[in-house]
Amino acid sequence: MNNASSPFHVVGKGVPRVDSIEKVTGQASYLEDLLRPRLLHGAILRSRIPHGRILNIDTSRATRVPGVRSILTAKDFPKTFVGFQMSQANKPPLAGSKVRYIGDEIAAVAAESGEAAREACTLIDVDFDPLPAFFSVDDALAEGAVLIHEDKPDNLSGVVHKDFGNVEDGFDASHLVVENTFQTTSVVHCCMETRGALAEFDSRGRLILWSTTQFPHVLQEIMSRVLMMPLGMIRIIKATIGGGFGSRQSMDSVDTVSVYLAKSTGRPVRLVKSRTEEFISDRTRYPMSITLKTGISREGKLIARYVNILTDNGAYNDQGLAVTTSAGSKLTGLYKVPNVRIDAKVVFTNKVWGGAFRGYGNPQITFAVESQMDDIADRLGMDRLELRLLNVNRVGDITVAGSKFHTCGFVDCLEQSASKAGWHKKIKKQGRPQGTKRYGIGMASVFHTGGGGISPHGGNFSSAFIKVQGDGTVDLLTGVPDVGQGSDTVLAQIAAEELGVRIEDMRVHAGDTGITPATLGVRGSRETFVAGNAVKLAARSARKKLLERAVTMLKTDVDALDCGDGFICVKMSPKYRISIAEVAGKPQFDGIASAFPMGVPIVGSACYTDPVSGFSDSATGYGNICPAWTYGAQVVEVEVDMETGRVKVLRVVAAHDVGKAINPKSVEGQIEGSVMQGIGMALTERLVWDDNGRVMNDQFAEYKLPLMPDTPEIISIIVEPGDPHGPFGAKGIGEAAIVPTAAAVANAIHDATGIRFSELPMTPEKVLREINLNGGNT
Amino acid sequence: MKTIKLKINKEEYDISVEQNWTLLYVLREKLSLTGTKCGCEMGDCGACTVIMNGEAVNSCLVLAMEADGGCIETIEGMAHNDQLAPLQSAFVEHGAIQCGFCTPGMIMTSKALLDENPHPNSETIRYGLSGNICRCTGYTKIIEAVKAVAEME
Repeated sequence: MNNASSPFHVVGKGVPRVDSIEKVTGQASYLEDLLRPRLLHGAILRSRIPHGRILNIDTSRATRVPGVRSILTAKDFPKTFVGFQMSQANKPPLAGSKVRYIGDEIAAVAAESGEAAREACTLIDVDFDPLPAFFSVDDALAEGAVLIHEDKPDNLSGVVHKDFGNVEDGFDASHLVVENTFQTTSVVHCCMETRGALAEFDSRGRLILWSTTQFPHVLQEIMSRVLMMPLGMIRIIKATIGGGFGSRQSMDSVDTVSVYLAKSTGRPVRLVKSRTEEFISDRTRYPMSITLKTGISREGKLIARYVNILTDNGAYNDQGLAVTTSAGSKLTGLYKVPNVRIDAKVVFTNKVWGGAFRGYGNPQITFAVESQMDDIADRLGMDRLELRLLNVNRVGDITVAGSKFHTCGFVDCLEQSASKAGWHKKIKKQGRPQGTKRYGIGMASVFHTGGGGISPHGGNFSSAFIKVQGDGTVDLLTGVPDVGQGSDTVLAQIAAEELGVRIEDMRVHAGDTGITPATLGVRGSRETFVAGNAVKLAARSARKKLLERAVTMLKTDVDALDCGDGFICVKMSPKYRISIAEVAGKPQFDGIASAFPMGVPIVGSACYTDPVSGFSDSATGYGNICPAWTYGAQVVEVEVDMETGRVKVLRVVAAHDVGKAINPKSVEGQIEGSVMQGIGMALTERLVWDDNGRVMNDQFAEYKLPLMPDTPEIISIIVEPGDPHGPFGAKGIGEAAIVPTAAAVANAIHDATGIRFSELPMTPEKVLREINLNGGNT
Repeated sequence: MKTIKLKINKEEYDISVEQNWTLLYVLREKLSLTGTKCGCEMGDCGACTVIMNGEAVNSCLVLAMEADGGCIETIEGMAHNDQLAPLQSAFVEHGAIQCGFCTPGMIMTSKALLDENPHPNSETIRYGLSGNICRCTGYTKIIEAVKAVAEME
């Protein structure tokens, strides 16, 4: 039954997404498309000052707006917070005593129409006592600066200090020591669907919350604590979700506020952010100032690295400390380096709060590390590829921080991307002028998780249910919400492969805490690895039951049977076969005269707990926190217009170790999408504030995202060493491919112009200014 | 309120509309044609693109009253009797979809482009779709999908 070239029927094939028909016909139902009887519309009043005490809130004018059903302020809420990790969360759903940034939630309205709710918000009168506000980390850290949170001295959210090996000795032993400072900025997720929630209580007082969430089961746990309601009284359902990229892995005020509005009115309430609200209040990539010092031997081996990171946390705690810790840790694994010290401060400012964003701090640190690697190569007179190859990790290596490599496609990624891009030939073209334009080529690498890892929510696990229907079709229930990345399809392929059914016969039910078993959600590129393993185990248990039943029907042994394409056959003589529908539809007793004989149900279930990773030692930071590390390398070619400063990305070759591609087309889609987000981060994207802390570019027209004409040729190379623990050898790719892009673009620009940009984004104005400072187009 | 006439996906409607209602609002909130998406309400993202009198428009920028007497095509009118239109099939086959929120607008803009110029080259496609933002796919597979239809005889 097996195809000679591949042992698999479904895995490894670029089958269309299981949700593609509803998405191309407009039938996919997103949060704003849900219809509920007697639905009310919510709106939120947001602060227009960046920092100040709230003296009084007067809602009397607002209550007179026709159609207004409820107005809530902080006094209507228990003392509770929203965010990611409840031990650190300090953002009240609505501001009580203080507002801390422009956009901070103050009051909420539910009304018969969105228009009435918004109008009522404009009629709520708030008296403030303004406080000094800080829009930079340096200002917030200045001596005597007013505290943004009274319980957080020095405006510090937290600090990181980690020491591996002995950096002093390492620097002493170095032939060359290089130190540079790099700056990244506030990049916004820009999910095409803005964040929202729809809350409703049923007649027994149970809450149903539809949310644009990436982690329904974790949200259920958090909501249970926030609302002081038992878990079983809360059902979180994700509708079809229009993008996440990390932003939806933390709860937001809209989640809590919609629930309280529904509670106070006894009616369902939907709250959806406008695009402007999304820009000013819905998390950003954490901006980091990164000072990186590296010691290198005469031959080009890395000996010691010291990094000092200053993270702009924004006004509240989401994941600033975790993202900064994650960023610092990547320093220990991208290349082999025996001595590493990491210092970091995470600092409150009066700006929109940061959050998780694809890569979790890694694109920031990698911009620094990989920019500096090129400078090191140039100073040593080495080829930039050779320097990287000299310092790679390989299978079996354990890093100074304890990361273990069960598989490692790093060398393959570097060599294959360089070869495909024609590195050795093209590197000689550097800076060669063509009219006003100069050509450049650059590379950068990535080291990232490909299977989640130990999370603050208690582990690295997932679970799944499988039901085989009497017609041979299969229902897969998983807690993992597909936010667009394609997990429904990949998980369906894994189940179909294990069960031997066709992909067309799979139905996926995902991300509903009322019916699907628990997972940690979409975080840390964990879905394929962790949820995939759970699905595979559940499918295996259902398969075992199918085969055991087929034994009596085919009169042979279990070991003699195989499944595929919807049939169970005898391995040695495949023409003896029986359809899975016949097996699953077999009633308990044959021969009873019934018009509707029902098959005895075939079900499978499993919970997978990652057996590889563990918590790192709290004192030393040593430990293998991820079950499957992954590597990649990208080569970027650019053209810099020396008269306008405009950078055009011509071509990107991206090679990534994914263990095994369950769906190569989906892997390409993840790589292409990541690369474009990386190009945006490199060249155009950042929030801009005025002197009063107001975001000046809170619309797509002013926040410049890459558009279709900006798309370069993107060539994906999928490296498949196979992971011993991954389902069919697979590891995750959701985040890794955004990590090296900005650094590779910066390196290509340096190659073209000789100018090293240490601050993102590299906008035309900035590039042109540097070109002119460096003698213009000569 | 004023009553306007719209022909939407070949069906005729008489609808009472307020002066400030947009075509997007009427389609989604009054007719439950929720396949057309609201991404920004400022005409920047293209998620709400529909075809009005043969031209792709951002329905968030068209007042319902301006559309009076107009012929509107939305994503719901693309497939016929469960048979996907060639553009829809191409988006499915080429993996040109991720979260899907931009997809209806992308398909409607592509249809208007191909209705006017059935065989555009890659550059024409890229510039023709430059008003539609996609944050997931990096555009590559969308370009491939539209190109595949453009190359059909």
